Amino acid sequence: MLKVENLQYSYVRDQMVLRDVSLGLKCHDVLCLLGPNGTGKTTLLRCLLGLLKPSGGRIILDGQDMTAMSLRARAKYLAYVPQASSMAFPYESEEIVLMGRIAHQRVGASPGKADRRACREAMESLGISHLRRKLFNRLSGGERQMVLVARAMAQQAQILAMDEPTANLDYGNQVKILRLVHHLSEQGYSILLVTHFPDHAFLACNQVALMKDGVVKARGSPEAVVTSESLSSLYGTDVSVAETTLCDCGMKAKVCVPLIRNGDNGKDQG
Amino acid sequence: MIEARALISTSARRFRLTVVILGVLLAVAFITSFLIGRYEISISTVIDIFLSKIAQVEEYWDGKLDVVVLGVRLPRIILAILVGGALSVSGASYQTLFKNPLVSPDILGVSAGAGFGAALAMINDANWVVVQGSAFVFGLIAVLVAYGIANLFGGRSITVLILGGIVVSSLFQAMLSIVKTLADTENQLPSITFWLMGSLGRGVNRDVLFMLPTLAVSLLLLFLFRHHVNALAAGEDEARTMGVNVTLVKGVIVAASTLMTVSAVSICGIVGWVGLVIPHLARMFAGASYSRIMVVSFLLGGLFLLCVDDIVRGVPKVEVPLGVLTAIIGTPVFAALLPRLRRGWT
Repeated sequence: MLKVENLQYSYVRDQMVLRDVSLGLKCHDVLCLLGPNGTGKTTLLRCLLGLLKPSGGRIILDGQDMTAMSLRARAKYLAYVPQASSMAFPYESEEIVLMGRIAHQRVGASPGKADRRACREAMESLGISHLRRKLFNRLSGGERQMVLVARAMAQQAQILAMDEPTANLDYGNQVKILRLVHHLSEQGYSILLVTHFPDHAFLACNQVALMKDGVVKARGSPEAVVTSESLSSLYGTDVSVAETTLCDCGMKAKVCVPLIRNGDNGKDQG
Repeated sequence: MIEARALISTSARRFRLTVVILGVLLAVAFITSFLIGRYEISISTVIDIFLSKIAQVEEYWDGKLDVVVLGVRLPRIILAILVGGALSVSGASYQTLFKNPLVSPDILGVSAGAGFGAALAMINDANWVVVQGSAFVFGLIAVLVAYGIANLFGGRSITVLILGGIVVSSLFQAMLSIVKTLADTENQLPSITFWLMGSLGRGVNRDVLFMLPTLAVSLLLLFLFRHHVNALAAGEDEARTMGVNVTLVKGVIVAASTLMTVSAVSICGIVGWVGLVIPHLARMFAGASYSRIMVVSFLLGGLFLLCVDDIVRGVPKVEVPLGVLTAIIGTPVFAALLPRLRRGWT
């Protein structure tokens, strides 16, 4: 569906932020993008969203070159879910969700029945209909994130780009968002998830790309790509990926554990 | 049917009610404003004077009341509404564009430029039309320079646009100070000073004819792009990802707001407070959605400035400057409403 080929970008000449990035995203895919700060994850996202113009390479969407698309056309394929922040003015949640319909409205027209229905359905499917009339700025971080996801769904794009959607959320809300990501992919959305938690790859994703210094170091399934070695070299710190059996149901799961205390790195253990 | 009713939300109903109430208040204020002034006149006479222009009415009133009502009070009343509305809508637009509740219509230097232009014409003993024209032209120049600076050095950044406006404002204020030092202290300096405090005292029907079309074009542009302007409140980048052509919409807002503000300022001098505070009051009544506060701001701003100008006209002998009175009357009103206004700011 979405294909990124040899993408390059530089803010200043001769300083490439993205050197050579290739990715693919199919229907139902959840692609987890991992990498340390400053490696170009956000730059890649901004190139995809049309906020930056790549200096080389191609972004292809359903066979069309995306860099030639208008923002309006692009918005119908790709929606952005930003980190939840506050608004400068007291908007109601539904008014925020309704903003996602702009690409579907003619200039000058008021939101029609189809627009209102899309908003209502998006909020219903996320179970946040009761927040419709609530002021966005009065909501908790988790609720705000839900509203922003609803806005992206109302945009009726098949691909969602989520930029650290779990940042600033408590543990329970993080899990809620991950469950939602999984649920959305089952509904047919393709999701690009930028995150700082390698565990998310195992929990909610079926594809992983590891990025460092503007290059995709590895990509593939979480089991193949997220290993003790790859994470340790990616973040420059010792990380151990362990497999464990969950007591209650006997399911196997993988977890990433950073080694913090001196004795933790295994060599000293008798 | 049930579904259709559910789609019309309570806030939409509240908005309609607000518009109706403000509309009625404005109509009442419009009529009663004709009664204020040196010549006493009754409502029925005012109505008959209007009717006499379109139908056969026996003239039982003093002939000079014709001029008082149609040539003096009518333009001043209409201008008060138009100026108040124009300043409020452009304030609301800029606040949404810049995501900043502290922004007022002169953020890009319109007022400073117009002030310099008017003063420059005044020290050259130009007539009133030239003063207005000069204020208009220099107001436009100031914004064009600010916009040019932002586009040359800031790329697409909105912060640089504000910075450009502040820089240009202070430049024109400095030049205004120079002009003031050159002005003679008998006539020119006082008239510059009074101009800078705003007054509708010299408004005539010609000004209405000039202001109506500029206002209509500007409001139409903003109305067409109202949902796009609204999305800018989520931030420039997010608006782009929702399919908004930010560069175009930004240009529309700046052009329309500038045109409205500069024509208001060139007619009545600098009237502060209205463009900054009325949008906040509008949000209190109608929520944050731009398509709503656009309408409510216009009605509320027009109503407010009309009432303030009525006080200016009603106080005998002295003419308190309009721009001064807006703040003196508006601030206590604003302070009284502030507890309710804080809703949603936190």
